[in-house]
Amino acid sequence: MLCSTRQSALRRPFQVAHSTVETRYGGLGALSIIETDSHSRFELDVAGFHADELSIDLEDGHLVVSGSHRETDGRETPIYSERQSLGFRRILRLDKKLDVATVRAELADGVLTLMVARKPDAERRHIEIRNSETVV
Amino acid sequence: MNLSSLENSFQLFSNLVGDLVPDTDDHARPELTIFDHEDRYVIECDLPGVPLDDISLEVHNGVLEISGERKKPELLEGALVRYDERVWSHFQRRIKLDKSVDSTSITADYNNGVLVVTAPRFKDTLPRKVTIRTSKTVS
Repeated sequence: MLCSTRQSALRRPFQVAHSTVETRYGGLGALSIIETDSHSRFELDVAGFHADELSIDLEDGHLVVSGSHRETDGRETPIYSERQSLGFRRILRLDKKLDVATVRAELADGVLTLMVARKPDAERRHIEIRNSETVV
Repeated sequence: MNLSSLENSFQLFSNLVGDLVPDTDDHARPELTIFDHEDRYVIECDLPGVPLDDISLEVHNGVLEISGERKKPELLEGALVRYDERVWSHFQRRIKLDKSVDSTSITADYNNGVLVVTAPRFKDTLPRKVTIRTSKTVS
């Protein structure tokens, strides 16, 4: 739907400026996931959103992240806009090894970062290799 | 935004501000939103997570150019990018300004990952009320 709108726009007088749909800049809600031994980090692009316009909920092991601009914003209608939507919703399935009780979120420069710690790995333990000389 | 309103926006945009100048294909194009206030245009460019030092804003020959680079952040040792939808590259947008814009008075702010460029119009291009004289007032 979004692509067809853009492709129709190709026939408009601004054809060249919009000719390469696939090089759009990630867009609202674009996601990166970074993992370390101790936690997983989810980063979402949410340019223009204030903290009170964003919502994060835990539902059945999923993180539901959504945002919508306040209707009382008082902003005028733009004469031109490439923004695809005034809101977004992303559902992130959390690995069972993540501890959902540890989720914390930060918003800075239009990027929402969610950090979730890994549970202590009960099944993994280090086993020391004994030298044959030490085995009785 | 449906197609008809998009087309209307393009027409308005063409009439009031001027054309978007073609960009080269090797740059990403961050999204633009343009507002028309009576005394100024406000151009918003979505640049989430881009440090101010990596954003360049220039006006040359009546063309406003927003450019820079969104760099991949350096990862700590042991970290791994498991999934990535975001675009990390040079970006550029160019907008031909209308002749009513006073390019020497353009200002810009960066808030919540959005670059907000304010382009005031020359005062003598603003609408003004003209008093209609009657034959009684003309000496």
